[in-house]
Amino acid sequence: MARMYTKGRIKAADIILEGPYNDEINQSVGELNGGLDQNNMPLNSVTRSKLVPPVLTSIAGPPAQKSYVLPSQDYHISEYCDAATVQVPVAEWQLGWNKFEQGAGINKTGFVLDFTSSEGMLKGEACLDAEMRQSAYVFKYFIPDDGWKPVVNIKDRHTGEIGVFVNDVLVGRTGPLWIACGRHSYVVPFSTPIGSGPCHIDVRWIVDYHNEITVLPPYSVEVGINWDPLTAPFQIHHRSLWCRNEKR
Amino acid sequence: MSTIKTNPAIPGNVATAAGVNATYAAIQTGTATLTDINEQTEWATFSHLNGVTNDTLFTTDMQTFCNSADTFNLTSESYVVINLAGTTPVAVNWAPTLTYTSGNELLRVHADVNLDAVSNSFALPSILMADQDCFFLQLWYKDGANVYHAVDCEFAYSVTNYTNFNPTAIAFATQPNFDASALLKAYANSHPRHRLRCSITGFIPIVAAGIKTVELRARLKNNTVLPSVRFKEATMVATMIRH
Repeated sequence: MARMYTKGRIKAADIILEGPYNDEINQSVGELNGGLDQNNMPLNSVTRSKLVPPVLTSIAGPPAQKSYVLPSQDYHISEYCDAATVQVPVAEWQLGWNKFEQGAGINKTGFVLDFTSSEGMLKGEACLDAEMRQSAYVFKYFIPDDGWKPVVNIKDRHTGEIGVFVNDVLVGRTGPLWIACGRHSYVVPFSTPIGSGPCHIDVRWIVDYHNEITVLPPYSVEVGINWDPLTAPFQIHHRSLWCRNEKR
Repeated sequence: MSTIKTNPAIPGNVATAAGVNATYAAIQTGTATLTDINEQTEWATFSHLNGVTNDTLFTTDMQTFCNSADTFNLTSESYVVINLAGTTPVAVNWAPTLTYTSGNELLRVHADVNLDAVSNSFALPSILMADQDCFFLQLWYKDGANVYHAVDCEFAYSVTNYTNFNPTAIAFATQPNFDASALLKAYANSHPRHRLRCSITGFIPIVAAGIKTVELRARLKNNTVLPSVRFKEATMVATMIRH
């Protein structure tokens, strides 16, 4: 509300009618009954004790999630720290973005957040300890004119990416990486405006498969994708996904 | 309180002192106990925050660490703090002890460090057991009673991409039990990681005794296979999430 002023003056010796009396009282009380706003509140008056304390909501899942709801922001966190390894065998690799949330049970934890967002910004990270190594068994290749030859060079040259999707929109990505580099912990930051309503965040990965074997030059061959179990699998270790919902 | 009730004057009736005073009393009582039901939503602006304490309202108790000059050589298979030059632990400290004023507050921590170099004498076995060419990072905190605790997940990095299959006896049709390990190792040994940036994030929910220190620790999986790695250029930041 704005500041208020009396509508009229009651003169001495006049009889007050019900109208002016009710108008004055109702105006003042009406504002007190839900109309108080920034113009009425004293400046420099809000201290920590005036703010609502945080509320924690835990979802057992899977996927497990913790949501900390605070006055100016919310934190939503899903993480899985067990040392058990999740393997995505080559037979299950797909073209395009592969959703980690397709995993069964606890395998989803650390890859998915579901919450009701407040209008503002989402900022967060996907942290993923993943592993892909050299594919040893590609040595099976046979050179027709020359028989079996020792392999002199081998590279798992496929690149890959980790991406974060908010309501199915890609908001953070690593860019192409040499994903068969061994074991590596990736951190993918993301930031996006968000409206009020249901919000779903998940992590996906993609592979641009390119496995090359160079035998005694000039011979070389490429190994196709989904050559299970001859190609090293994509393995997932610890992971966490968190986001901060800054309220406007 | 809820909303304030009034006793309106009724046309044709003489207003009574009791009725008028009841309204004034309701206002007097009600205005002393206003709650959020009496306010419009989103009324607070930055100017309404207390001028003395507004720095501590939202982003509070932030501590940072940065060192780009010194190095630390990790040789341990158990977690040790990354202690740059042997004198500067990668850590943030609070004195007095950082305390939680609400049960659901949260300390958010980020740490980054560069893998500066890998020991030249690392020696891959023909059959690599799990993580033998890896080092691990983890955040640890010291509580108000001087007890250390690990935070959340540990995150790993290998220094090679050597296969975790057994490449020593590959079954060829015409060349059974072919040992490919030497070729694979030659590639892996000649392509170790260099200048790798490692990042780690952790959240610490309420610690009853408070927190004195959060530090970045590291360990090797197997210091026979990978004798040492060197760290350099570390940063760290921690901030308390209160509101």
